[in-house]
Amino acid sequence: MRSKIKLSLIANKTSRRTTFRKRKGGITNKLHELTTLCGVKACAVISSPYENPVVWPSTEGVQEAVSMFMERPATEQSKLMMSHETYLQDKITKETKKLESLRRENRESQLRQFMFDCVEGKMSEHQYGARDLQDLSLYIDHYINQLNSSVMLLTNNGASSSSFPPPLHTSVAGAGAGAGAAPLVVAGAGAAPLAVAGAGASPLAVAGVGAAPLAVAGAGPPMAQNQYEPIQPYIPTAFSDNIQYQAPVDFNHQIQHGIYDNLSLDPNHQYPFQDDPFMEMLMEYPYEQVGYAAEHAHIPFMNGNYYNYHQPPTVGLTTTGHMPSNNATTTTTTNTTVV
Amino acid sequence: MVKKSKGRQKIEMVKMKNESNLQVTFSKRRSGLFKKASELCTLCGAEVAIVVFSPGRKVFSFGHPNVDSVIDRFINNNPLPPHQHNNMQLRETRRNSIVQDLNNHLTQVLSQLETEKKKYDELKKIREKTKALGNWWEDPVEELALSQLEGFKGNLENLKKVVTVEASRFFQANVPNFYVGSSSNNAAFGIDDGSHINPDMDLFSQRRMMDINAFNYNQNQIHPNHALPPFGNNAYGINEGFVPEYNVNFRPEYNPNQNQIQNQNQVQIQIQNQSFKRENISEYEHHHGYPPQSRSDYY
Repeated sequence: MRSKIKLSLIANKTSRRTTFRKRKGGITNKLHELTTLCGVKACAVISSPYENPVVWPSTEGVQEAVSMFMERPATEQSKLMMSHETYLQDKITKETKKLESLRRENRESQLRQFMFDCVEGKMSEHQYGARDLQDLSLYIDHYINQLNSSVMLLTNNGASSSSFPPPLHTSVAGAGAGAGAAPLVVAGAGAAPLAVAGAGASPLAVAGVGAAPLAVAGAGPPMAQNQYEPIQPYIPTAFSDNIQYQAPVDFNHQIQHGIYDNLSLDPNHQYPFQDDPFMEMLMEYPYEQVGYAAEHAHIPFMNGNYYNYHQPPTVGLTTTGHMPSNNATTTTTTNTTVV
Repeated sequence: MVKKSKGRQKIEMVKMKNESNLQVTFSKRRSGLFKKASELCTLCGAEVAIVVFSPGRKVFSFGHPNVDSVIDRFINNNPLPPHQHNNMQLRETRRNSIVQDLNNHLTQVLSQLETEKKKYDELKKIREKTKALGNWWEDPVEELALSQLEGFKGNLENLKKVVTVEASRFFQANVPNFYVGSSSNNAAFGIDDGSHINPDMDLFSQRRMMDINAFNYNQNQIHPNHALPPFGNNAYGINEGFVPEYNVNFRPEYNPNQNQIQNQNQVQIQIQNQSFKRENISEYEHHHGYPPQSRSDYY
């Protein structure tokens, strides 16, 4: 198999002339095919330092075509005129766009495969970094949105069939409860009063049926607790449902955003300077706390800094006071990790 | 036998009757013709001018160095390109250089495209292999039943929490490497040496190395019972020098929260460290001129 030729001037003069003759023939052949197939007029002038100018199809034909070309207005001539530089630039632009599109598609395929492997418990087989985990988290959000769209679609179709008598809803909920543990029976019993309300019972019954497979899978108590939380959003109005569901996502995004900012700034060469004052203090005053305080008494709010320095865990607790609802989510995450 | 594609199939060399096909053929063949002409110019240093009139009576042209100049030379019947003027020679040399750079760039992009195509084929193969296993949750979302959708959504939400914690852990792991003296730290030194020619920087680099060692040593002494990430300590040191106002927010909150359990403390520390560091870096960018002044204070 012939190798790919390098796109540059051929150094050897003899091979250059040979290549010129061969390719010149190829170009004239292509011109012939084009004019024959499409019934159009064309001409070409090929000059080189070695030979007299070569014209196609003939001297008279070229002159005729050139006359037609010159008759056109200057703007029309230059509008579709292409020089070697502009041609190459256009080609580079087109190929670059194609490259970026393919690269993006490959990235999405990789993330999808990575996500499914994690679901199947094969996370350790992949070599990943912080950036990969961040992208994976975003992709999971995207996929969950797709799942939600499908759920809404199917739920709406189910709502259209709400003309069924209430006992059917009860029996469906009962079947779901039968497949699961005792707490699901409570959920099934809860469906009965809502069945009287009408279409409102459908989401609850659906949620009850959906929870069963996870319970059968053998999830621990924390997982079981997680399964009950989605049931609550179905009871209030749609507006409340959206608000309650979106809050945790925002919290997670906040963490991701912080992580990304920190990672991108780490390579900055100015960053190491930030730790100099602290290390200097450590070096000069390793044991003498009194000297430390006296030396920096001029700095405002010294007491606050003192507390932060010696008891960082307590400082971290300030987050709890401001976001109590998110605290539960974080605690659940810890439990999941431990399991 | 009717073929599905036009590959490996000869066509009659007559004018096409289908107008739509004729247009498409013209467009494709014209671009191919121009590509061949471009390659000829690059490889053999030839000067080419091609003029094509489309079925729609438009005129397309390709020329190197220029359509007009090549045609003018042909009309004037002057076979040799003139090299008497230095000005023209310089311009031609510059144009050749530009064309060479463009060709190199094009070659680079094409090779990268080739690499991505190979990766695409590999991923496609993996996907087909996985499809054979018969995992229902890997089917398109539209084909799943309602119960499957709900169950898989729960799994994904749990996985997302695990991934978030894992990402936090990764970020924590990056900081100790930097301070212990890993390759990233060496790179930082390299950057410092390159950006500053001042001979005092040599002494400064030595002091920074000593400081790093002192940091590890002092950490053990001051906090013997707490396994705290170096990131936290470092952040407070930075904060003192650059953002004194920030301390006000922490002091009033000290007493009311001292009864929280240890488990929550650990989780909150991670979150607090991340947001704190982000805030701190943002402030540092704002106070760009502070580091030199601050250093002078402590020396």
